Amino acid sequence: MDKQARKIASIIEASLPALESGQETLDSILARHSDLSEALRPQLEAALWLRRSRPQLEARPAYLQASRRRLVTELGRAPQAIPARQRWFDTSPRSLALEFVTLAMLIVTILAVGNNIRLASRLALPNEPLYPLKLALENLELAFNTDPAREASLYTEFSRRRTSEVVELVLIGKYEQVPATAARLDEHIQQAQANMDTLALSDPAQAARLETALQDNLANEAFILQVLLETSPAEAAPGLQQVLEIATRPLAGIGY
Amino acid sequence: MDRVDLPGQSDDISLLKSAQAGNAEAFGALYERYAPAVFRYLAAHLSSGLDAEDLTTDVFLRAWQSLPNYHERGVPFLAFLLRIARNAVIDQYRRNRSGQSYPTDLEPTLEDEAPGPAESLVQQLERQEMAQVLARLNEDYRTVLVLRFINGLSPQETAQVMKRSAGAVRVLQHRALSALRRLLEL
Repeated sequence: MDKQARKIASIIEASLPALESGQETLDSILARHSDLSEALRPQLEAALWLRRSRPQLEARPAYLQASRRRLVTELGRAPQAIPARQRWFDTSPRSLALEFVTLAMLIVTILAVGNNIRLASRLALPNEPLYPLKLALENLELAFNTDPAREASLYTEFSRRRTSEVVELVLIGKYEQVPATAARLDEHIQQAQANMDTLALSDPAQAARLETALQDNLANEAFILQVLLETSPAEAAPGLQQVLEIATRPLAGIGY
Repeated sequence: MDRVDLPGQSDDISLLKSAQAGNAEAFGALYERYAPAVFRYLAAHLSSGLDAEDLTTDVFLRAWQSLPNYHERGVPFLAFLLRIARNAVIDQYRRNRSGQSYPTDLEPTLEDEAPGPAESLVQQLERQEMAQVLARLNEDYRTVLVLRFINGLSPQETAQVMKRSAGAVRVLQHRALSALRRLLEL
């Protein structure tokens, strides 16, 4: 139906000027489109009626001339709207206040959304969409830090996060992600120890406190991992043993 | 189909630029070009020719006020005006439904604009007869027929005014012509 309607509309478009000028008749057009003549005839007749009624809708020339003069005079009293681009630079107090409130709301929204994403990323596990953001935020925290003591504390905290991730991964059966997390844990522990060695040259007491904190943390995590190893399926064992071996290495000196 | 009252776009662009800079005379030239088409559209929708005259000027005043924000971007100036005219007609219907008379900011009609008695009677009778037929069509049917056959817009231009595709305009035109033909038989 729609296809035929479009075809008839195209025929009307093409043939109406010739019909109006007398070059063609209604019958000659219908003969050329005999397959559609039944549907085409009333359409052409109605279109022709509209075209012939057109003079009844013409404006009076006197009105057009006088109204043009009147409009041009009136325009001086009808200011144009300020374009959108100029409105941005509008310096009226009301406009500035509105823009300030809008900007403040935008900043608050961005901060709230950003904070929500940051908090959500903290819960992310390896191979999840927000996990790269979690690692990037950790690296950012390290990049903005210049204090070796603070850096050692950060690596201690990150190593705790990695062991927590291992526990979560084993609990949900994603054992294939454990080795990569174990490698990150190993790197964090080594970095923490390297910072403590540097710090020991200038502040041995502080370095000793940090080392105790790292060992306490790892001892707690190793205990949880050991319990998990004993209660998890056999396929989780290789990954867990690898993590346990990494986590307990710094504890050798304290008889773990 | 022949096209009237649709002058070259290049002329329009320079006039529009001047008008956008606040040149009332340039806008007056645009009025001269496009007022007949806007009037025809309005006259086909309103029973009174005087109402159509008032509303034609009002459409151009609205266009002037929003002209600084008008950008060509594929919508020709006539389509822009006819969109305003369409909204103005809808506003007019709403006002009539709520019993309000149409307010105009313009001065009362000047004496030299008023039609003579003979012109007024003949024109009004013919226009009323046509308006009575068109008034029995629904708003979309009336709009598509007026734009296509009274104003001579192409399906693409009609589509720009009505914010539809050209294909949808052709289908709508087909249905509107069928409805009109049935009315003319009565």
